[in-house]
Amino acid sequence: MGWDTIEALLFDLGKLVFVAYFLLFVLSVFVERKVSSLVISLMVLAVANGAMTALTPLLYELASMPGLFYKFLWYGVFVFIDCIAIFLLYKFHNLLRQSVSSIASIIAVAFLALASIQTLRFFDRFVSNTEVFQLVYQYGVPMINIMLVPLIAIFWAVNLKSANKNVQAAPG
Amino acid sequence: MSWLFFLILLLINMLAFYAYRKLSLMRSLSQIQAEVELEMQSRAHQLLVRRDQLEVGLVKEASEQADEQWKGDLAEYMEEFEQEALLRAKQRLTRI
Repeated sequence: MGWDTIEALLFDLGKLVFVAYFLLFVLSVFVERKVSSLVISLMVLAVANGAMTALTPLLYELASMPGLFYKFLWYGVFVFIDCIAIFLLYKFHNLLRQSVSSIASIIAVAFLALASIQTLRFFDRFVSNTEVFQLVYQYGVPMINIMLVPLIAIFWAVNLKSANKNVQAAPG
Repeated sequence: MSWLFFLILLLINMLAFYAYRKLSLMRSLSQIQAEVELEMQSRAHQLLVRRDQLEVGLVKEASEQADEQWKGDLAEYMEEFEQEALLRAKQRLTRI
């Protein structure tokens, strides 16, 4: 499989990622039937990804204009949304007094990784002019977004299984 | 100018990391609380089992002494439970 095929596949899957996050969120509301760390995490993930997806065409248009500020806007807005998403994860868990699950931790790490990649790419492209992180940026960002879907599904299944086991093993 | 933009990005990254640290701290607090809850629940269960045994008369030898011992253990459990509740309330009020 060549790079072109991988790139086309990543691009196509990337567009579906928001739909997958949203479906996972709706499913979590029906399965959990109460406010939980999973519901909070998936809601923040869907909202943050939705905002990024909605802003991408506008930012792309702006970034194609001449001037460093417009290029900065492309990276800056994404880093800002990543930062806000982590803050919202913390704030909602704190306000709703929910224990932070492993899925919430994974999603926060993913946002942190995305923000770091955006910052590194900006440095690489406009400060050091080395173009070392081009591939990391090109494939890393969609890869992280896509990988989150199976990771969340696996951890959710494991958590459900261990919760069922605890109910069965509970004394009484 | 590019350095200034980069520093702004770096600052937002640091804020993101700060929020992540707070979230991680909350996760470790939740884990400690869950462990304590599980331990207290298990001890309460043991106490109830011992009470049942005492009432049914399974513990025949020195039943009065066993009853006293059970009451002592229950008092200790209640005291620890209260302290734990106070500690948690304090943690939640001063949390981060």
